[in-house]
Amino acid sequence: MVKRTILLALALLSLAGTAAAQSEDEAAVFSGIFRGKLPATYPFKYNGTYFWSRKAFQQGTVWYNGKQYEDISLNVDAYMNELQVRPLEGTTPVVVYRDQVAWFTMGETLFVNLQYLGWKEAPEGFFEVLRNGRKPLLRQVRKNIRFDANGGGGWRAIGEETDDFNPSVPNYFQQEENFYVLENGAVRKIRKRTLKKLLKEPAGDPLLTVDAVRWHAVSEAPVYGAATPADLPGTGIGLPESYFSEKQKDTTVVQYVDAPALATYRNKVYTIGDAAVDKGKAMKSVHGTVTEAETGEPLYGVVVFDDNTKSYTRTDRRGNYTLSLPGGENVLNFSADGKEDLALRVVVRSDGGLNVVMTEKVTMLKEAIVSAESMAQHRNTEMGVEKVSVKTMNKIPSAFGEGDVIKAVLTLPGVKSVGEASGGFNVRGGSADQNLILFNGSTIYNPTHLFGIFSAFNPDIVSNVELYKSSIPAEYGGRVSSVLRVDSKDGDMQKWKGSAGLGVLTSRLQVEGPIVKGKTSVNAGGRITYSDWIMKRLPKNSAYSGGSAGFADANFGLTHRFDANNSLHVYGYYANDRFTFGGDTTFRYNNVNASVVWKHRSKIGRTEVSAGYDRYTNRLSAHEWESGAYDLDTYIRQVFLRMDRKRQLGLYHELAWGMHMTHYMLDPGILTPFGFDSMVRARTLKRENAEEPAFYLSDTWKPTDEFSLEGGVRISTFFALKDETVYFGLPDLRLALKYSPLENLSFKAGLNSLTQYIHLISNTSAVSPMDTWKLSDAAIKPTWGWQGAGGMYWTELNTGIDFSAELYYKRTRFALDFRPGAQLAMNPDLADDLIPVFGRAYGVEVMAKKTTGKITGWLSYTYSRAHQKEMQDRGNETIAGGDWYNAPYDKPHEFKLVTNFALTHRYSFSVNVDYSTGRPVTVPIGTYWYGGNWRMAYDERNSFRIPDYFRTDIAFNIDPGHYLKAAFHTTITVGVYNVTGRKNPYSVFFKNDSGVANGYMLSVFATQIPYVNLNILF
Amino acid sequence: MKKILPLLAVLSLATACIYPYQPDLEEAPEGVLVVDGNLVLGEMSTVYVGSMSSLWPGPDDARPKISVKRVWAEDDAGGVYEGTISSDGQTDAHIPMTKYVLHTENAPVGHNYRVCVNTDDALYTSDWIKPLTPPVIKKINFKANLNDVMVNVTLDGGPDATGYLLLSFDETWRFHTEYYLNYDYDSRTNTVTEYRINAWDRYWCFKSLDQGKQIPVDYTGMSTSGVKDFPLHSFSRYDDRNHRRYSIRVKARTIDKRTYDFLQHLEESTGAGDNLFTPNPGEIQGNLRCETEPDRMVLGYVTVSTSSTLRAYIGSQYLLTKARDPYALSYPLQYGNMAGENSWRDFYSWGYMPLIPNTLPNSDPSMEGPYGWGAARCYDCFAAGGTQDVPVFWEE
Repeated sequence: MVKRTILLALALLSLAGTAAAQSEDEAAVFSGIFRGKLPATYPFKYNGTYFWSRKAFQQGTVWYNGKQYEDISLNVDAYMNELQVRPLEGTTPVVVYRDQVAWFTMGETLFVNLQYLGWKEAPEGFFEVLRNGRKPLLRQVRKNIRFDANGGGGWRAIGEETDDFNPSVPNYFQQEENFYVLENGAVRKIRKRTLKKLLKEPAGDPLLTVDAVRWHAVSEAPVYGAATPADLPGTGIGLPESYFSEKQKDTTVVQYVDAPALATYRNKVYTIGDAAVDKGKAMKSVHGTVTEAETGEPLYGVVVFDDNTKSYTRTDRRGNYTLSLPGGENVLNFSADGKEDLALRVVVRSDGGLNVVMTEKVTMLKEAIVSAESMAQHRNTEMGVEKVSVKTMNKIPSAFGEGDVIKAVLTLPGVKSVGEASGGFNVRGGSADQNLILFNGSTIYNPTHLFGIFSAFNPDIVSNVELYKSSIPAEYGGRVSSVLRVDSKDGDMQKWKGSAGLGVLTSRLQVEGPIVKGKTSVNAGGRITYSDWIMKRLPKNSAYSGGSAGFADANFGLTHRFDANNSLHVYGYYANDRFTFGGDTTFRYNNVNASVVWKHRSKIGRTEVSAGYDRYTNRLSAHEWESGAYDLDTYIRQVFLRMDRKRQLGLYHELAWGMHMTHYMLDPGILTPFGFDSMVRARTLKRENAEEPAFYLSDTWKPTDEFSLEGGVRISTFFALKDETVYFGLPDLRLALKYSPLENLSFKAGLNSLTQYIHLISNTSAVSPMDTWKLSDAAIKPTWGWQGAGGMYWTELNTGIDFSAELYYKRTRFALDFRPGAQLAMNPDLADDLIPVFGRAYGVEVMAKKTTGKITGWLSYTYSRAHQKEMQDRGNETIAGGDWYNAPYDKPHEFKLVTNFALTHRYSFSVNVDYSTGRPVTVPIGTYWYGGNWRMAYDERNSFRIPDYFRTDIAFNIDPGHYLKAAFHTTITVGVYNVTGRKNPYSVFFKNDSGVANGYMLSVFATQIPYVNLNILF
Repeated sequence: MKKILPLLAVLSLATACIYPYQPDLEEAPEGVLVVDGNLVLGEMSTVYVGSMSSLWPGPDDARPKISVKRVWAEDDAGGVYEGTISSDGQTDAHIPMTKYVLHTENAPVGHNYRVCVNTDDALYTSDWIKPLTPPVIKKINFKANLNDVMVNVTLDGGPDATGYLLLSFDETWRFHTEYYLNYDYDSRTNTVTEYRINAWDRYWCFKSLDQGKQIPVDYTGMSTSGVKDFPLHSFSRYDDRNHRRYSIRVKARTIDKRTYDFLQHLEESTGAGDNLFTPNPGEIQGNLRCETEPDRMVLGYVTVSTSSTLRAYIGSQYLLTKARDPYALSYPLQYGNMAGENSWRDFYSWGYMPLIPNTLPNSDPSMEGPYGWGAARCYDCFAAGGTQDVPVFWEE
C-alpha cells in the first residue's frame, strides 16, 4: 500500500516538472512516444465510436516510459483499452504501449493506469479520475461491438449525433462504464448510487494529490474535468531525490541472466544474455518459445523479425524460434494471424533466450505485418513444402461441407487423385502408397472414411497440416514421394471448451480443457456418421444402392508439462469403417494408433523421444454362399521408437540428428470359415516380420541471410525376418540450397533420394477397402527413388502476393505394377503377379498465393507427366512392349483456384475451381465371342484418357461474432459442391450387347450437392 | 429444417450414376483370330473359330472375317483329328464364329494335345496340353425360395485334383405356353368360335438351352478336395422352367491354374469398371500363338480335358410358377375391333388368335372388343422356341 502510494506520488511528482523531462525535444515526430504500433482497424461499417468519448483527438500530457511528453494529440480507444497519440494532424495515430503509461491528461481530464501505479489487481486500462481524496473515485469506460439486425445503430441509436451515422448499419459500439474507489490499498468496484453517496462525503486528504475534481454523470449536469497538472501540488511525502536517478530508472527494466526470460508485458525492455560476457555489437543467437496466453499451447508459424537487421524467422511446430541479432538494442517483433502483435524492446548482451506469450486478437491484422510471413519463406531452404492452415481448410468447400484435410491437400499444386472420392492421393507422379501419412507421429495406412468421401482426420482436432513434396527433412523416411504430417492441438491449459458439429452425413464433438491448470490438459474428440439409413433410401440406379455404410473415429490427447522445458504427450486414435455393397459381402477396416512423446528443451537445443504402436486391419466377410462363407483378414502392425534432436551450433549451423527403430508385423491374409456349413479351409499366409533401423544427420548452414545450404543423410536398413533377407539401403541424401539476392526474391534447388520398404498391394485405380500391404523380401525389392527440384519464389511487396515456380524431375525403380488378372488376396506367390517397374515423373508448378486482405487464396497451374516401364522383358506379355506407358495418375494439365472473399469479418464467400486432364484408362479395341459371352479385347495399358475433370464449388461462411464473453459461438457454412453439376467421370467401362459394345461412364458426384454445416464453439 | 437435411443427404448420395458414353476409339485391328477350343476326350469336341470385331460394327455387318482353311487337333503321338464345320453352321447370325466339330470320341487319354488353325496367311497353334482326370460330380441339388430356384452342385476333385474346375451345363425342360387356345377364328365370316379346337396340341413343348457358359471354380481354399453346394445356376419363379419338369446336365472338367486365371480374369474384365473397386482391365495372354508371325495378336484359349457329367431333374412338386402380372407382360394381349382399324382380320393376319374373352377376371374391362388376342408365342409352343420331340434322355 505504501509502496503503491509512493509510486503514484513519484509519478505525479513528475507532473510538477521534477522528472527527467525532454518535453520539448520529445514532442518531435520522431520521439519515442511515437514508436508504438499501428492501431487496429475495423473493416466493417459501424455506428458510434470506440474512443472514450468522442472521435476528436485532444491535446494532453503523457507520462510514458519514464518521460513526460507534453502537448501531445491523443485519444483513448476504450474498446482496445489503448492510448493513441498522433504525431501530426492528419497522420495515422500510433498506439502507445499501455504498460509504460503511468498517466496522461486529455483536455482537462486526468487518466491514470492503476496497474502501472501498483494496483495490480485493478482491471487493465485507464481510469478517469473523477475526484481525488482519501478515497479517490474513478471511472472506466469500455466499448463493445454490438450487432443489431434491425439496423439503426443499436439501442438508442448510438452514434446518432455524429455526422456519419448510418441507420442501415447494424454494427455499433456500445459504451459500458464502471466506477471504482481506491480504499484500504485496494481497488473496489462500486455502483453509481454508491458513487453518488461517496461524493457527498468529505473527500479528505488527496491520495492522488489532486485537490479538485468534478465528475460527469449521464443524468447529471455535464462539465467535468480534472485539475491541470499545474494545479497539482507536490507530494509532501519526502521522497528521496535519488529516485529519479539512472539506477532507479533501471528498476523498470527486467533483467534475465542466462535463463530464458518470459515476456508477459508488451514493450518492457528485456535484457537477453549475460552482461558479463557482452561482446558488443557482435551477432548473438537468441532463442525462445512462443505460446498462447490463454491455453499455454505453443504457437506454430509465428513470424519473428528484427526491425534493425530485418532478420526473419518463424516458430516451428513446438513454438520454438532462433534468430541471430546484433548485440545491443533491438526491437523484436512477433506477429501471427489472429494474435496481438508484440514489439519487444530487447538488449542483447550474449546468447540467450526469450519466451513470449501472445494473446488473442479479434480484429484483422494489418497487411504489412502478415506479409512478413511471406518474407520469412525467403529465409529458409524449404522447397515443395505446403502448409494448410486449419482456418483455410475449413473454408474450402468440400462434398458434404465438413473441413477435410485430404481434400484441402488435393487443392495444392502437384497433388492429384485418380478420381472423386478415391482413397489415396498422388504427389508428383508417385503412387498412393509412396506418401507417408503421419498423425502425431503415428503412421496412418488408410487416411479416409466412407469410400474416400471423408478423411480420417477430425478437423476440430487438427492444428497443423504440412505436406512435403520435395525437400523432405532427413528425419522422415520410408516413402519415396511425400510426407503428409498432421498434428492435433494440445488441450487448453486454462479453461474447458469445445466444439460440436452437425453435417449432412456426420456429427462430431470435441472437448478440451485442463485437468490441472497450467500443467495437464486433455483434448478428445469423436465423429460418427448416420449414412446407413440414408443409403437404404437411395434410388436403385445409384451406384451405392442396396448398400450400407458407416464409420466412427475418436481422438485422444493428453499433455503434461513438468516444467517450462519438459512435457509429456500421450496420443490415441481409433477409427472404424464398415460398408456393404448389396448382398452379404461386408468390408470393414480400422486404424488404431497410440503414442507417447517426451519433449525436452534445453539452452542449446531440443530433444524428442517417442514410442508408439500403429495398427491397420481390414476384413472382408463373404457370407452369401453358405458352403463357401468366409472372413478374410489382413493386419499390419508396427511398433516404433524414435529419438530426435536439434541443436543450434554456433550462429550459422543448426544440426539435427536422430535414431529411429520400427518393427513391422504384417499378416497378409488370414482366411477363416464362417458358419457351420462352410467348407472353406482355414488358411493363414505366413506372417511377415521386419525391422527397420535408421539413423539420420543433417545440418542447415546459414552463413548469410542471402545464402543457406542444407545437407543431410539418412541411413536405413531393412531386415526381412521371414526369409532372413537384409537390405542395406543406399544412404538417402538430402541437399538443398537457397540464394536470395533480394529479401523478397529467392532461388532454391534440392536433391532428395529415398527408399521404401513397404508397398500397397492394389490393382484398382482407387485405393479399395481390401487393399493390403506387403513388406519387401527376397522376391520384392525395396523401391528407391530420387527427385531433383528447383524453384523461384518472389513476393510482390505492394500486394503481398507470393509467386512461385517449381520444376521437378523424379525417377524411381522397383515400384510395383500388376499383371493383368493378378490375384492379390491369399496369394502365397504374390511376387509372381507383381511387376517391378521404373517410374519417371517431371513437371512444373506455378502458383500465385495471397494470404492477406479481403481476398485470399491461391491460383496454380501444373504441367506434369508420370510414366512407368517394366524393368524386365516378359516377351509378349511385357506391358507396352517394354516402352514407357502412362501411370494411372498421369494428368498433364491441372489448374486449381482456391479463394475466399471476406465480405465482413464474419461473412465470407469461398470458391473452388478444379480442372485437370482426364486420367488414363485401358479401353478395349474390339470384341470377340468366347466362353458363351462377348468379351472385350484390351488395348495397351492406360493408352486412353477419360474426359477432363472440371468442378466448381462455392460456399458461404458465417463465422462467430466477436463477442468474446459469449458462451457459444456458431459457425454456419452453406455451400454447393460441383455447382455446375458436371458429370465428371471416374471411370469408363464397356458392356457388350449382341456384339455391339455399349460404353458407360461412372460418375461419383454427378450433380450439384448442396450442404449445410453447423459448428458450435463453446 | 428437419425435412431438408435428410433430403439433402439422400440427394448427395444418390448422385453417383452411370451414363452412356461413346468415346472416339481407334479402329480395331483387322485379321485377329479368335479361337474358343474345348477338346473333350471321349466325346465330340467343338472348336469355335472367328475373328475380333470392332466395338461398334457398321450397319452392313462388315466385320473382318478371317479365311480359315483348316482346323484340326493333334496329339503328340501323331494322331490327327480333323475339324469339320458343324451342320449347325454359325451358331448365331450375330456371332462371328464358325463351329467346328472334331471327333475325339476315341482320342486316347495319356497324350498331350493341341489345336491348330490354318488361315490363308498364317498358322496358329495352342500349347501342348495334357488332359486331366475329371472331377466326380457327386450331387446336384436344388434350393428354392419364393422368387428363385437355385441349382447347386457338389463335386470331388478326383485323382488329378488341382484345386481348379471348369463347370458348364445345359438345360432341358418341359413348358407350356401362356395360354391354351380355346378359340378359333373364321376369317371368312369374321367370327370367333369357342372350343372348336378341343385339344390344342401345341400347348406343351420341350425346350433346350446350352448357353455355352463356362464357370471356373477355385476350391484350393476348401478343406475338402472339392466343393460342396456350389451355386451353379439359378432361375426365376416367373420362368417357364417352372412349368412342369426341369432337367440340368452338369459337365465338369479339371483345369490347371493357368487356365483358371485366364478364365477368371476374363470374367472379371467383362464389364469391369462399373464400380469403384473393380480391378483395372487388361489383356491376359491365352495359350495360342501365331507360328508364322510370333508378334501377331491372337485371342482365345484352348482347353483339353476329359469330363464328367451328371443330370438331375426337378419335378413339379418342387416347382412353383409365379404368374406374371397380365398388364406387365412382354407381349400383352391386344383388344381389337370387329372391323375398322386393328380389326380381327388384322390380328389374324399377324398370327394372333383370340385367347380370352373380355369377361374373364384377368382381362381388361376398359378395353373394347370381346376378346383378347395374343401373338403366336402366347399360345403356340413351337413359336415360343419349343419342340415336341422328346429328348432321348428324358425321364418323367
